[in-house]
Amino acid sequence: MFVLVEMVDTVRIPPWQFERKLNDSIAEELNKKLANKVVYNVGLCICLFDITKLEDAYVFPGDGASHTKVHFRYVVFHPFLDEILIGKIKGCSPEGVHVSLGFFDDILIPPESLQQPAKFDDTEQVWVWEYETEEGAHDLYMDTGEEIRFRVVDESFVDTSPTGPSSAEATSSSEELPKKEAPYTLVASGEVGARREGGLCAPICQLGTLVWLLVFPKASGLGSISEPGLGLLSWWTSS
Amino acid sequence: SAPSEGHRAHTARVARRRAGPGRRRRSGSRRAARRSRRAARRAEPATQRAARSAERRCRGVRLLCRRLEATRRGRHGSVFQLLTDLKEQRKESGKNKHSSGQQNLNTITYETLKYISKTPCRHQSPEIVREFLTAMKSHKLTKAEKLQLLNHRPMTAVEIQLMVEESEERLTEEQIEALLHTVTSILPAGPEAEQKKNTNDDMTMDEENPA
Repeated sequence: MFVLVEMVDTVRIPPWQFERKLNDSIAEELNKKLANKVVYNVGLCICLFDITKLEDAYVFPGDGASHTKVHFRYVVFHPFLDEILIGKIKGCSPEGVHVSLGFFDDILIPPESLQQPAKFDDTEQVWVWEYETEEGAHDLYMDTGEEIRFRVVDESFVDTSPTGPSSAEATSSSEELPKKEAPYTLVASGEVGARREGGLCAPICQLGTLVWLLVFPKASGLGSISEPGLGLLSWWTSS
Repeated sequence: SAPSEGHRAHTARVARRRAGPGRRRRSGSRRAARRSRRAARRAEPATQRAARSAERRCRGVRLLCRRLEATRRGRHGSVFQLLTDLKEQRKESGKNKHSSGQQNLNTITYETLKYISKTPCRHQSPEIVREFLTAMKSHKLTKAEKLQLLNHRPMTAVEIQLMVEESEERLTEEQIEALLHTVTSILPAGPEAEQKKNTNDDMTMDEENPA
């Protein structure tokens, strides 16, 4: 889930912080710059791990601050493909199930990778897995706040740097607010892999095929829960 | 004779009219613009500035993304340790915890700690991890699979099937059982399992007490 990323950057320390230890000021500046931010094609930065190398600090004419080139390692949230994660259901919409990890919110499980057959209940706005057994069909609801296990299927990054003004779209964009896109989203697959030992139904459904989904233009985490073992934890724990 | 006041004023007026409105206060206006820009930047709250640069790609940050080996990478336990240490350190230093620049760090450390403390990883220590990895050597699993076992502490065969690729071909039933046994015996249980164990203990104690 977390990766250590080596980065290099020049850190500016203003003169009123010269009395502090350089390492501490640099750590604080780096955290201020990167913590809780998404770096394009890298992931969500959590916090500084350590400083590997400090080069000489220079003071440039016209600016009283010192500039130091720093080599450091940062803890970044970047799950690898096919990693299993456990999150909470944030909500359901016709686009799929939205899952959140607390510190990271943009995870979507599209309807194709829910346990089949699944349908969207409009009255309650939840996705339902219609599980068939010999006794009959059981409706398993994906309620908000439930813990869910899913597999990361895809991710995408969107470069949200501000673009320059372009005369062509000046008229259209002035009327509507620019759409806020999430810079980093995961797409997950949640084949229901409910662990149910001797419970309602035989836990081993056929190992469904993971549906590889198209990369959305937005950075999104595509998740899937279409395998035995994935899905709401409550489906698979023996009660 | 020296030009009169009226004449000087007149020539000045003509010169101004000829120069045009834009060029009248040329150097002065540039300084004024710089002053106003600097004031605007100072007035803008630090969070907004941070947000701007946050969404922006970190220019000037050359990334050497070298994924370290799985034992350093991704272990929730080590991230938990790191974040708890960071929290302790910042509690001691005290003063700048609440400055607007640190708000992001506060948010992310709080949320990540909250998330990890709900997983079974919060009780792991480097010794436990080392013990686990030496025990895993015999099972011939990839680094990613060992990492997931470490992070999730699976307790059933279905979970093992999820985390280990093609487990049906690579592992027999006995091997899966052995793997489960290693995992549950070496890795400490998660907080809910501990809670369950505590309530069970409490129940047995209550049964003994009235007797």
